[in-house]
Amino acid sequence: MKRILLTLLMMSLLFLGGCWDRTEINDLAIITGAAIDAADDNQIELSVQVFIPRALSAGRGSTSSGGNLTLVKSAKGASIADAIALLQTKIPRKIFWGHCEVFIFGEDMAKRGIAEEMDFLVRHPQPRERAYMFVSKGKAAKTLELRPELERYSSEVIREMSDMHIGMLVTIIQLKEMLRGKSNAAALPLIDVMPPPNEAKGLETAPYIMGTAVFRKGKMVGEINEKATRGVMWIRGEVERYTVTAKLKNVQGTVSLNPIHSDIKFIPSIRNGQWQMTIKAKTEGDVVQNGTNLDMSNPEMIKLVEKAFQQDIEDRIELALKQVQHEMKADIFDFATDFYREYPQEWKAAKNNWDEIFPNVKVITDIHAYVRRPGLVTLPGGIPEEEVREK
Amino acid sequence: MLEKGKISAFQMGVMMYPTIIATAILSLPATMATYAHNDLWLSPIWASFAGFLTVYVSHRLHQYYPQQTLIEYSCQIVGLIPGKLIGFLYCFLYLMWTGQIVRNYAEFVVGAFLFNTPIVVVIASMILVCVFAVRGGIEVIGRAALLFMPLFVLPLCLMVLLLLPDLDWQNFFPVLENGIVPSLKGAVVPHIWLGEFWLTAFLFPLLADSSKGRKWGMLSVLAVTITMIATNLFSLFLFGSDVSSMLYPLMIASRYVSIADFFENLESVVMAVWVLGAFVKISVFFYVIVLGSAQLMEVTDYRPLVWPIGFLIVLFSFWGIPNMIVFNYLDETSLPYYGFFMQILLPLLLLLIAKLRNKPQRMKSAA
Amino acid sequence: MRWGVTLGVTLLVLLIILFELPALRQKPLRDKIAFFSLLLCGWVLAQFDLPNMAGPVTWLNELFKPWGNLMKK
Repeated sequence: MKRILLTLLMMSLLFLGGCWDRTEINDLAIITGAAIDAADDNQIELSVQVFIPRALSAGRGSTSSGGNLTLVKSAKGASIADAIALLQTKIPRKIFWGHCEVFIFGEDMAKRGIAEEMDFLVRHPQPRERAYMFVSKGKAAKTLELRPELERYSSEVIREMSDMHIGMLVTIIQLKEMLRGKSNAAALPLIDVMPPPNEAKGLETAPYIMGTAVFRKGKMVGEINEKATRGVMWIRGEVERYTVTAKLKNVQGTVSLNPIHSDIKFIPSIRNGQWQMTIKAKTEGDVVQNGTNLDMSNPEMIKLVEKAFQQDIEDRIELALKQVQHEMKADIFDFATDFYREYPQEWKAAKNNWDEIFPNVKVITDIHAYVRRPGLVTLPGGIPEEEVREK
Repeated sequence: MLEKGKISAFQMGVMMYPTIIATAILSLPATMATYAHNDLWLSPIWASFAGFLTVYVSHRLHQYYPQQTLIEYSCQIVGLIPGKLIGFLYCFLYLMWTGQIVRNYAEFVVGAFLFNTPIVVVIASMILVCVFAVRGGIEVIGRAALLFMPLFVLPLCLMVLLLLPDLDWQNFFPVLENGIVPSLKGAVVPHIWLGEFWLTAFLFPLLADSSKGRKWGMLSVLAVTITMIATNLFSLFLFGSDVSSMLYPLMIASRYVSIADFFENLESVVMAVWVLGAFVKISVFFYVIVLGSAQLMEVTDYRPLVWPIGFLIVLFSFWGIPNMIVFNYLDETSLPYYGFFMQILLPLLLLLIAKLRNKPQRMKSAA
Repeated sequence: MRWGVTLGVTLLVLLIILFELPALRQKPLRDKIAFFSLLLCGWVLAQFDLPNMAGPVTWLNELFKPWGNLMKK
C-alpha cells in the first residue's frame, strides 16, 4: 500500500516542476531599450528595441559596423501597458523587460507629463529598478533605430555614457524618489543624436548626452545645456571624471585639471525669515595640461591655478543656479529635503509655499579647490626655459 | 507527553528566529514606514517589549508547570471547561494565522516571481513539505532550522554589503520630527510578530535543558529586534521616505544590486532564502497546532492529525481573503488588536491566576 | 456545487485516509474520531467558495474594526 502511495507521490513530482512559469530564452523578446513618445489624442507611442539573438551568432566578425543586432517596433496606446498589449500582437515572442536598462521619454511626452507612465515602471514586476531614465530631444524612438559603431546597439551607448557620469545618472528608483519627494522637481539627462558624418551613413551614428531636462511637478519645464549641467552636477556632488579647463587672470593660455575627488556639503539656515543655503565644496585634482608659461613646481603659481580652478567651478554653479533656480524655479538640487532635515518645524509651516520660497533662497558658495600633483613634468612642456615665468 | 523528542534551548532560539523574521522583513518595513515615516527604526524597539514580555510570561508559567504545554496547564489554571476553551482558541488562532502566513508567502512568490502559477499549487506544495517536517517531530524541525539558519542570514547580510554604496545616511534625519507617537503607532502591527514568541509556551516543555530556555528565548527576541531595526534602517537609507509605498521593500532592494555590471538581479537568491525562512516558520506554527490540538483532544499520537490539519491550513489560507488588498487591510485594522488580546492579555491573566493558585502550595513546601 | 472540486477534494481525502489507515488501525477509538472529524471539517469547508465568503478573519475584523479606525484617525 505504502509503496503504491509513494510511487503516486513521486509521479506527482512530474506535474509539480513549475511548468506554469517555464520560460525558454527563445520564447522571449528581450527588450534592450524603450522609448515613450507622445502621440495624438492623448495617446502614447511606445517603441521598443528588441535584441535579435540570431544576429549575434551569425554576424560575428562579418558585420563590423553596426549590422542590425536589434530591431525596433512601436505601437500606440492609451498608456504603456495598453501599448504593450498591442505591441505583443506584432512580436512573435513574449516581451521581456528584465534586461531593459534604458527608458527614454520623448520631449513632447516629457512636457505632457511622465507621472502616469512612471507608475507602470515601478508597479510592473519586470522592469528593473536600476534601469536608467532619459529624455530625448525631439522624438525618442529615433534614438533606438541608430546603429552605433562602437557599441552593439544605441541604448547600450547611452547607458555606458551614463555610467561614466558624463551627464546625470538617474535610475527608476531615483526618479520615483524625486517625483514623490519634497522638492516636487526632477531632472533627467537629455540626449540627442549626433549628426551623421555624411548623408549615406544616415543611421550609423550614436546618441550622446547633451544636457539636462528639468521637471517640475512631473512635467518638463525646460532644459539646460552641457555647461550648466556641469554646475548642477557639481551641486549634486555627482561630478566624477571631467576635466576642468580654467583661464587664469592676466596670463595667456589655459590650465586643465582632472578633478579626482570632490566633497560637497549643504548647510541650510533660516535667519530672520531669509532662507539661505551654503554650498561648501572641496575638490582636488591633478594638472593634466598647462598651456601657460607658469612653473608648476612653484607653490605660488599653483595658488594662482587653484584660484582659477575655484573661480571656474563657481561660475558653473552660478550659471546652473541662474537657469534652474531663477528661471525654471525647479528645485532639482533637493534643497527642500535639506531644509526639512535641519528645520522640520519651519518646513512644515512653509512646505506649501516652497514654490515661492525656492527661487528666493539665497545661495552662498564656498569652494575650495586644491591642486595635488603637477603631473609628470613641472615646467611647461613646449616653451624654452627662458620664457617660463617664475613670479 | 505526546512528543518523545527533545530539542536544546539553543535550537529553540534558532528556530524562533526565522519563525518571526521570515514574514516580518517581507512587508513590515513598509507598514512601519506608513506610520512612523523616517523614525521607523524605532518601532521594532517598542515592539520588542511584547517579545520580551511573552517570553518572560511563558517561562514563568513553564516554571509552575514544567512538563506541560499551554493546552494542558490552562485546564489546571482555570478549570477543565474554560481551560479547554482557551486551548481551542489558541489552536484556532494559530490555524487561522498559519493560513495567513502561507497565503502571504504564496502571494509574494506568485506576485513577484511565478506570475502564471496558480496560487493553490504554491500553497499546497509548501504545506506538503511542511507535513513531512511536522510528522518527523520537533527534532526534525529543530535540526532543519539549525541547518537553514546560515543560509537564511548570510545572503541577507551579503545583500546589505553589496548595496552599501547606494545607501544615503542622510535619510536618517530629522529624528523624532513629530515626537514619539508616530514610532509608537508604527509598533502596533509589528508587536504581533514579536508577540509570536508566545509559541514558546508550547516549546518550553520540549527542551532538554529547560534551565537555559529563558536565556535563549530572550536572545532570540533580541536578535529578531536587531534584524528588524537593521532592515528598517537599510530600506530607509536606500529608498528614503518612499519605503511606505512599496509592498516588498527588501525584494526591490535585492533587484537594485549591481556590482561591476554583471553581479546583479539577486532577487532569485532572496526568493530562495525566503522559501527557507517561510518553511521554518510554517513548520513551527503547523507543529504547534498539531501538538496543541492533539493535547486538546487527548489522543495518543499527534501524527495522524498532521494531514487533516495541513488540509485545513490550505483552506484557511483562502477563507475570507479574496485578494491581497483585503489581506493587507486586515493586517492593519484588526490583527493587532485581537492579537494583543491573545498574546499579551490572556497570557498575563493566566500567569496571574497561576500565581494566586500556587502561592499557598509553595509556602507549604518551603515551610 | 462545483463537481470538479468536490471530486478532487474527495480524492485527496481518500488518499489521506489510505495513507494513515495502516497506522491508525492500532490506535484507540478517540484517535480515530479526532482524525475523521478533522478530515470531515476540511471536506465540508472545501465545498464552499472560500475566498469570496466571510471567514473568521472577516468576523474578527468586524469585531475589532473600531480599534483599528481609532489608530488611523
